[in-house]
Amino acid sequence: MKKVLLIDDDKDLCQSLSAVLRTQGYEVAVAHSATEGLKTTLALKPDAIVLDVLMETDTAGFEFIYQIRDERDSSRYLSVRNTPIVLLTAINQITNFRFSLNEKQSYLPSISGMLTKPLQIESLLDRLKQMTA
Amino acid sequence: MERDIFSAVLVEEKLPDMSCPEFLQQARKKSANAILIVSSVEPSLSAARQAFHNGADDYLDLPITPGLVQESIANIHAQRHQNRSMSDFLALWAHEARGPLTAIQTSAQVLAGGYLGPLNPEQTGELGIILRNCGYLADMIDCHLDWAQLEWQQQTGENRAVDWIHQVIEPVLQRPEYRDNPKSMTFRLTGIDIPRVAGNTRQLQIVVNNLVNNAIKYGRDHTEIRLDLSRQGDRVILGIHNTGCTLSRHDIETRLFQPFVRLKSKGGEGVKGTGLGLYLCHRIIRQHGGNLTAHSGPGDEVEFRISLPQAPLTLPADESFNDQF
Repeated sequence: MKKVLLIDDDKDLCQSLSAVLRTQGYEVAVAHSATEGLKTTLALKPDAIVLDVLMETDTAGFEFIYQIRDERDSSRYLSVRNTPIVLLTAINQITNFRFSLNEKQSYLPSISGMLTKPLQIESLLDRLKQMTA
Repeated sequence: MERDIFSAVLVEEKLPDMSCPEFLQQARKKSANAILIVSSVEPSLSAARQAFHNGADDYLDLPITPGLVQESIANIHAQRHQNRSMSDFLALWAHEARGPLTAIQTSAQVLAGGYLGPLNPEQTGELGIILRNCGYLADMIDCHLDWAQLEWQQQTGENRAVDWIHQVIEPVLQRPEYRDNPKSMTFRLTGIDIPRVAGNTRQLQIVVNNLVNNAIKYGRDHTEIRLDLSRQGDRVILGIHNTGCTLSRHDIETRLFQPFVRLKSKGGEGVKGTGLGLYLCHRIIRQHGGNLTAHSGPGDEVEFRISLPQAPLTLPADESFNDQF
């Protein structure tokens, strides 16, 4: 059974997404902050991570990615460095007021994709299927 | 104004070598932010209205005193600041509102998708109402963000040479909610070797996004939305065609592009909208020196046509969007 970690501070959203992911045969774990997410990632070693951007800080999600993808040999996250991550964000690519953000953004380490809120469940399921294949 | 940057310009209405409206238009083009004050020996309501229409910030009667000008400038600054605060507030509100909306919409999608078990037709119907209204709220939020962005970019935005297809149209059509739209409508893009247009990429995306969103919202199931790009002299034309709700000629000529107007179109009953989208589109295209027109033809076909000036060869390309999509 593939393991998915949801990291989002919106508990209602996590509850709905967990429910639907379980029906699709995933084992689901939830964290409500980037800090909690890092600990759970190390403990659980998920096959895929669904990550929000704005949590305890405006850039908590980005900081999470930097930590996980740290390429130094001394990194605590070596064992989970290559876990695929899909970013969830309310920052829309088209109406992205004062932000310039996209999944190919050069300053961000590699991620598997970006989905905007409000979310299309089918899009998330398709993306997770590719990520955990 | 050719040689130097001025934060405020005081101009007498009667100029020896140029009409006042012409001066105001050129001055506005030179400097979007300069305060433009018109003074008049023979003030009239129609002249004042015309001055404001052409970009003046204030219209004063003679005799002009330094105190009067200072007061006018202070008022204009205060008003601009107020508009800015309002648009910042709207942007913040709209961004915050996405959170709870996402939770509601996701929850409804989980139920409506049958992921947690089968539903009876009444339950499916009720969830349909929730999802449709979530879509309406999402549109409203996007409109407020667009509005705020427009206000902000008016003060900071610069024109660049923009690639219609790769930087504007394709990113919009790739949005999952359009690509997998529930009406199973398809897209066809025609036109090659189209020159770049002079403009602001994000603002042009807002326009195409709104027009495509409308084409889906007011279009008939299983029909095609056609986007035709072509050239007419030194202008680039984009026509967005759909089949569905039609518009009356009277509405097109009088009300279609006015703010907060919602038309009662044939077949569009019950479709919700903010009444802001087309107004924003019209405003953006006008600011780009272009035209946005609508045509409702036979066979229930509706076309929205954008005409924009081709970018001069000397205008630098918008590099910031090259690796984006």
